[in-house]
Amino acid sequence: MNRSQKLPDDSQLTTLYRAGRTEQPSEALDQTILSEARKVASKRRNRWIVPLSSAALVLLGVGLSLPLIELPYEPSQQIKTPAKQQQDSYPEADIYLRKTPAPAASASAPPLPYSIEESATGADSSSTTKRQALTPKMRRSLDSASNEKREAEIQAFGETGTELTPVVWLNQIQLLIESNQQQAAKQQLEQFRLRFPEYPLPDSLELLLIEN
Amino acid sequence: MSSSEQSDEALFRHFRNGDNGAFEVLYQRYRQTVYLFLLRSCSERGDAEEIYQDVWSRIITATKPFQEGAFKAYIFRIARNLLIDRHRRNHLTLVKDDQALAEVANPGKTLEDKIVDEDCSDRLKQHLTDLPAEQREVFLLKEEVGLSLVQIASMIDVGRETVKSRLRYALKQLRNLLEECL
Repeated sequence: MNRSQKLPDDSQLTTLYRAGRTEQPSEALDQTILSEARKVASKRRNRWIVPLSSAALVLLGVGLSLPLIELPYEPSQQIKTPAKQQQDSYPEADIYLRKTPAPAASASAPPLPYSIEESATGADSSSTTKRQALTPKMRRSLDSASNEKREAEIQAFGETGTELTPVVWLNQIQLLIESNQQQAAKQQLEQFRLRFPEYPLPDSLELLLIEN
Repeated sequence: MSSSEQSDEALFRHFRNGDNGAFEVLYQRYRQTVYLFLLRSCSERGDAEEIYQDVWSRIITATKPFQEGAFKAYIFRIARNLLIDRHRRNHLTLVKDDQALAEVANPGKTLEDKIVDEDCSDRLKQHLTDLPAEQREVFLLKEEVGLSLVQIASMIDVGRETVKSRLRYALKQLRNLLEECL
């Protein structure tokens, strides 16, 4: 048995066969097939458009929303009313006041918002005259009583040096005005202005300061 | 490297990625061979053209890549399978063994009786059509497609000796019928 890997061959038949290879598919058949191939190729070219554009949209969306998502919630970023904005425009002052240790009620302490003595009696000239008429011993006694009152006032104000913020202070001034203590309120306001020269004042207090 | 120099498999890969030009090159390479293989295998030109279109449709929609050297075998395997399907639908009987082949191979006509005015090429085509399908198939896979013994045996899933035997029968019949032309 012939175990050759070669196929049986007849060169004359092969030549005759090849001479007759003249038929071809028709032009219409060619066009049908090529047209189908064009459609499929076009689909394959475009198959990435939808997923790629979707991915791009997602990335764009994430990119735009990420800064908003990452912002931590802070109460100070809430929508502020004009009044609140005004009050908050001096946060450093509040921080300073909160952090500063309470000074002793001595000469090194900042000036008190107002004098109890003055606010209670009014800073009129008659009280000065009366004081001058007192003996030195009586005057020292009066000063001692006055200092006790001042300390009591500091306590009453909730340790003014550490707790009194511009907002609270202004509220106190407003209360004095409402209770018809115009003079005391004015003095407080002047103290306030010295302490916080740039802090914006409500119109009513601004007018009080301008008067006189 | 230009498209015409690329392998069948590379061209098909480009086509899968949407390059229609690669398909056109591939189509031109196999256009006539596939067509003639089908035309010689079918008795009707219409059948051959229908199968031809089916073969290319399957190639166009194929999604799997081919290993190097596999495209040619793939396309003719498709063509062959479609031919077999067509034969089955037409209730044609495929010859199953060499004994039967020997019996069917005799056309029973003399050269002069059959086609007096045809030239030798046309007669060869005609005699090819008259050959048993399995002999014709092997003859065409060798002469038209250019497959080797191993490739043919693999494609039609028979032993190499069977391939050689079928081809010997085919050549012998054709030589006998075309003696005056050779």
